[in-house]
Amino acid sequence: MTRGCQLVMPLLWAVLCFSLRAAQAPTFASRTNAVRVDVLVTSSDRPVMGLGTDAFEVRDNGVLQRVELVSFDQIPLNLVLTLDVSASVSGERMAHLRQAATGVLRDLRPADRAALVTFSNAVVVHGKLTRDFAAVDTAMSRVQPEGRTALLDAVHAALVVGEADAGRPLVLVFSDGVDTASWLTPGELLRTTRRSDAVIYGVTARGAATLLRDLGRATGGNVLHAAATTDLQTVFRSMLDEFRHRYLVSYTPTGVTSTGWHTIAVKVKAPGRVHVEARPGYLGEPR
Amino acid sequence: MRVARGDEPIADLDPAEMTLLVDDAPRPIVSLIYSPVVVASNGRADPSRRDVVAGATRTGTPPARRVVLVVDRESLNASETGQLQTRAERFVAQLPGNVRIAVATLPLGSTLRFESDRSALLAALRTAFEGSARQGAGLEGIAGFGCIDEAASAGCGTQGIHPAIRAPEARAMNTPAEWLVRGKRTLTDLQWLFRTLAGGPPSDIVIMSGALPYQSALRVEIDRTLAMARTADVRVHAVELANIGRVSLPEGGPESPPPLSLDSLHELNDAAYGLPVETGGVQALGTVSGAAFFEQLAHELSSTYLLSFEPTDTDRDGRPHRIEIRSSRRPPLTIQARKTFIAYPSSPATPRTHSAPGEAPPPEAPLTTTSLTSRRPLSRTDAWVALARSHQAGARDRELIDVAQWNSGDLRNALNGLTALGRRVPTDTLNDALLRGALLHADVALLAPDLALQFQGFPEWGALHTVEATDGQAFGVSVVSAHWHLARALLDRVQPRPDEDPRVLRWYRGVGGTLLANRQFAAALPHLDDARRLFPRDRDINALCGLLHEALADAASQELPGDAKAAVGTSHSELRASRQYLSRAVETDPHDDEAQLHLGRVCHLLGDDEAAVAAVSSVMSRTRDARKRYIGELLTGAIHQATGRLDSARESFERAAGLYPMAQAPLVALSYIAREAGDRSESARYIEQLAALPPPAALERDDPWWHYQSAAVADHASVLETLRAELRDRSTQ
Repeated sequence: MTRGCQLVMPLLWAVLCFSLRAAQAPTFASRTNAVRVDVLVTSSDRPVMGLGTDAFEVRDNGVLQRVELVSFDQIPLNLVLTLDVSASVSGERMAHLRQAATGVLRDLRPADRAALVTFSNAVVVHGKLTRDFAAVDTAMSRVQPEGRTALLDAVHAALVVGEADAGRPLVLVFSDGVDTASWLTPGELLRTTRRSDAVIYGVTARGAATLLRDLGRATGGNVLHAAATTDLQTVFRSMLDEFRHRYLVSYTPTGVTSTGWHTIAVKVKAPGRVHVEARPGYLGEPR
Repeated sequence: MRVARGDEPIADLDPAEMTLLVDDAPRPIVSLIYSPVVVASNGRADPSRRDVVAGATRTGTPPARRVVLVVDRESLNASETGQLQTRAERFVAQLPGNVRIAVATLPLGSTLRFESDRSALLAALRTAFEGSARQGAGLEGIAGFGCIDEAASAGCGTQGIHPAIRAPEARAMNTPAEWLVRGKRTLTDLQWLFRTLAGGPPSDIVIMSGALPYQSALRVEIDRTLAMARTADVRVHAVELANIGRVSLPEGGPESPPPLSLDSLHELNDAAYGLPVETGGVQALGTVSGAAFFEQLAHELSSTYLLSFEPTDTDRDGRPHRIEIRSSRRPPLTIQARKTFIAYPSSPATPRTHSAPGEAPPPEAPLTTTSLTSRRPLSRTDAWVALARSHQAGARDRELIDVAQWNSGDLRNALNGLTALGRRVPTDTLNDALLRGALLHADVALLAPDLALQFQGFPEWGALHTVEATDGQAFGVSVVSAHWHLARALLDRVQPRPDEDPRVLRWYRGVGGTLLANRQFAAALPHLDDARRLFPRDRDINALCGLLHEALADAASQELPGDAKAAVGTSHSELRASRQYLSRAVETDPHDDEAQLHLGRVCHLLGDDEAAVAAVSSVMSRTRDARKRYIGELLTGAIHQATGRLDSARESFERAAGLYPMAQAPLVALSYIAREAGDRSESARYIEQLAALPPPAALERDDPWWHYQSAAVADHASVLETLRAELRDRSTQ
């Protein structure tokens, strides 16, 4: 296991590790000792760009931390498409969902990786993170909608898949129903997200809004309502675009205990009024 | 059916040159009657009118025809319907005297009345139009109008909406709730109309509207309406007035954005626009005057034949069957006819107790209606008892269809007469009739939901609404069938006391289990309340109550919109109620494994892991059933996990995975607790195992966890079928 490589240190180090890992068979395991926070900084609903390390003030449980890295739109993404293919997503809805998946895969850059997790009552992990986006697209084209909805179990699996490699994990969840088949509870899934660097963006055409909103809040992501499944492609692509405009801020916690809940407070020093979105905290893991 | 060559009606068809196919198989034609409803277009006499006067008795006597003109007053504006009204009045004036005509409005204003006085009819038509006042801004013809769930219908997405109108703007002009309520009322009124006309002479219904309902949220009502149109011998014609021109568009936008095309509406399964298609009627969309529509309708009605055949026993299954009619004449003729029919099982011994509203007389020779064998006058109670005795429990037979169409007056009379019946017959006979009646009405609610809503209960009962949902997502609101209430009211009359009759208990248990298996929770709540009133200490009734409230605590029930789950408590309160009932069940019978397992889960979710352990352990100590052991291991693992004993939890989940290696829940649970323990590699390893499972369609990819609730009610639900079988056996003895 390349535990050291997953410490987010200078960008060069991270990119080097990423390159090394690219030659290995990827696994679904990942671990960071550093804390990474994806931060969206906007002013009048437009992303604020060009901020440096000095612009960010990060407190962990109230203790000021030394920000070690701020990157913007540079580190490759680990996009995990997590898509509801239960019986309620049939007919033209499924066609729209496939089109949306194809569209967002086209928008990925060569260094990005993607994986597909589909779910009805059965969660299907269609392989590991890959740069072969056509393979992911093909997998999506073969999915047939059926069954009930195991949204919670699927998001858990997607988080694990998304963390399997260096890069910024983005879990894009689409669901149009309410969970009716998962083993995990909402509380358990939220605990999973609090131990994860992944950002969850939820898209719902109907239903599931409460859970997806909570997941978005817990990870600093967002939830959007697609007015129609015809809008899915636009919504997916806009989410990816928004995510690319986030800053990746990292720090190695100092002055705080390693375990338990850590509240993260991010302030940005920038001209004018800015709005900052970031995950509210994380669960420290036993060492 | 209409037969023509181009615009020329064909009046001399012979049955010998016709072929009738039912579900692709040839069938004998019993009669073919030329029965035109002649219309003189443009005020001139129609040359084929003489055929009607002469009787057109080539192969039979034409029966009376009926035409109902329907004005949808809430989707039309009086100020905009001048031309349509003129065309409609001209149409009425030109109908021959042997055609019986009625004017109806949507919403329905009064009882359907067939007038022979043409001047009175024209006055009624004028009144109907003058009273029209469109609700909303008239955007029904374009997408965005009234869309609760845009994604559910192509007509509700941005596709089909003119680019000059943004979907949010369109939506803002009419509230979804208004549209939904109006659409539902329109469909309910149309259903009433079809029921009223069913069984009488063939009828043509002409709907003049600004928009027919089309929306997935109304899917259930639309399906019911289509089903009723198939069973009634009616043809529906629809003309929809263009209203898009009145939408004020932004500067620079085109003046006439197109409404949804008829083709696109036909493609929508959720559209009432299928009515003319299903019944072989005429349809026009986006018209201003209706001129072309009425002209086409005139052609249609001037070349109408009635073709009849006798459905076989195989046809009489209450399901739609395809009809195709061909002619051997050359050059080929255009034949337009209904596409399906529905027939029900006949029961010669059963006296018919038709009670349709309006003036619908018994059928003379309808296409698929069987003739009556007895017209002996019976009291409502006697007739009801006869139906209950003849009904084949569990079948959607003619008795079921018949009683489903009784109105509240008939049913109240039948109920009121039971007291007198009890004085005339032995107690066993009365009780037998009551039990059969309860099964009959349960079958109406279960097997004929499309008809069951005709009886909406007695005023003192009130109405109970239910949310219709799929995959946890609500898509409509309906009314719980009053036949459930009626069935229970019947059993309350069992002598000497209903709670002393084991068959009553089995009925409550079987029906309760069936309702839970069908996830008909709104119907199950009052049912099990009554069951508990009668059998407060019964193990099965208490277990069913516990299972119901456990299900109501789940996300699928808790996530319903606020108004929709008025009868559902919070998740915590539902779990507490569940625990109370499950505890009573296991107090009565500690060996009720299903109740113990569910009690264990409920206690765990309530945070009482000590009680949870006791309940689950009691099952694990004695059962060798793999499924029960699997559920027990999962629950044990969850309890260990909650109390921080992750190693013990892992062992339990691994045992569960050993019992069902293809099951998903243990792998997810193991991945989760590995992550909780800080071992992400281990967590990932279990997800890799999950990724290696067979595809969802594979038979071996099964997880008993997915059937956790349905498995628990299966035994209870089977009691209903056993009870039905017993009654069927006794009927044949």
